[in-house]
Amino acid sequence: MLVDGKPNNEQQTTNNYITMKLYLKIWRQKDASSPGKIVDYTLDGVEGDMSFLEMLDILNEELVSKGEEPVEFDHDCREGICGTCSLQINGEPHGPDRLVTTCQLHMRKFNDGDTIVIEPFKAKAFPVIKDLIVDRSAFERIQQAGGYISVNTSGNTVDANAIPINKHDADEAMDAATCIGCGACVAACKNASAMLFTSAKVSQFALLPQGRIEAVERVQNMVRQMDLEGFGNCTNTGACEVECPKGISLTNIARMNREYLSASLKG
Amino acid sequence: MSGLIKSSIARKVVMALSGLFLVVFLTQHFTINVTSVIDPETFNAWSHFMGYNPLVQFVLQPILIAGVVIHFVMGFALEIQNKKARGGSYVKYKGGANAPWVSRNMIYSGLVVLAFLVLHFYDFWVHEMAYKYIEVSPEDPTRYYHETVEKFEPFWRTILYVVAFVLLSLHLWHGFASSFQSMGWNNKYTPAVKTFTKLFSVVIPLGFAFIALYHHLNPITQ
Repeated sequence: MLVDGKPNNEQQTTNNYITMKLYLKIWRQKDASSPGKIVDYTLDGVEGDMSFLEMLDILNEELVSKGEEPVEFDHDCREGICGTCSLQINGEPHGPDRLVTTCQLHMRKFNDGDTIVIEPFKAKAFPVIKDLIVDRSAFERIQQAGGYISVNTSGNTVDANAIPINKHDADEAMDAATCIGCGACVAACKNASAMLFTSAKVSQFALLPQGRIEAVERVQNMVRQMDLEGFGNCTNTGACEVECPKGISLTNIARMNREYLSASLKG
Repeated sequence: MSGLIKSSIARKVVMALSGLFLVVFLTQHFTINVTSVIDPETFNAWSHFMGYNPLVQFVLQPILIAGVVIHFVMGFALEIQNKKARGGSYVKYKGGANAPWVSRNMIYSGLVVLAFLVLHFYDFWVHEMAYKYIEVSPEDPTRYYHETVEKFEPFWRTILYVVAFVLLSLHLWHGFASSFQSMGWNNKYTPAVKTFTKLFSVVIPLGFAFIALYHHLNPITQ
């Protein structure tokens, strides 16, 4: 907000109205089989109220106008709800802010003259497709292995709302279901473990009566698929929980471990 | 069953259970060691009991060694698996922004503790085995106190022990509470478990370090 043509006191604490010159170090990789490298770019005139992806859009416009290949990156809704955007920004997935995706990260979080290192999420199970785009279909295969419930659709379907569920369980299931599958947990974890994602998808069903019917097979199949994809093992550092844009809790991993042990004992 | 052994969660549980078993052993070890500072006769009596009781020697001791081996072999196996899972390193990785140093460096604190165990086994266990089974020396229930104190006469050994106890403290700081999470135990008691973990991981290693320093500073003069 401008007061007498100048930023007011509140706004002066941010970088909204200051244009910034940024030094970008961006991972460029032609395709999955080519080696990648960091390429330096200098971008001037970046405004604080731009989103991080808009900043990259500006860079790409400049690159295209110069006849250079634009930087490829994933994006879709740009509203923080689809889980498509990614990016390891200055060593953290989705950048330095908490509980936001890259598309919701604003340039006011950076300062004039900053150097920003931008890399793809790195994991053996997330191979680079091009530049900053990685293949996260491993998550889809984990979901397909058991992240569903069977519902009778013969006309005698019981309305979900007719089944009593205590509020605590309903809330926890809903919290787990807010996972957007972006892969920040894998990117942040020093072991590239996918246990926060998998546990959220196990938990959202495990807590509800509709999910109990296939509970034993679900957790076993999803964990087996997770292991097959080549993700690392959880060592409880908690990095995933801190970096998750949806605040998925580590309690979900404990629940998945319980579910798995109980399923294994049942055979 | 083979699927279970290969499963990431089963491996976590193996690490957790063996780790908790070693925590119980540490408590017992510390309880006996601390008597060497309070009352040498009690220390001698306990040490003699531990050294000659068949249940301790032929059942509990092999279980303990198995516990140590399982914990570090599984730890190495998981570390290798986890390193492979990254598939190349980041140009910039800000691990400190989202996870404590101790939790990210368990392999290094564990390796120091393992190296210490080699020295510790050489110092006491190898000596004990030689005394009993190679030299076939007679039982002497009064020898343990002065043998222990003599071990801490060299400054270098005392310092190595103290350094290892600091790393043991860091290892426990993350590992103890973490083992409950691995076994699926994260509930309203978790804050209490975390507080107890911090107390335990400071008090026990500090106590071990105190015992080593006490004996170094109070040698037996004859």
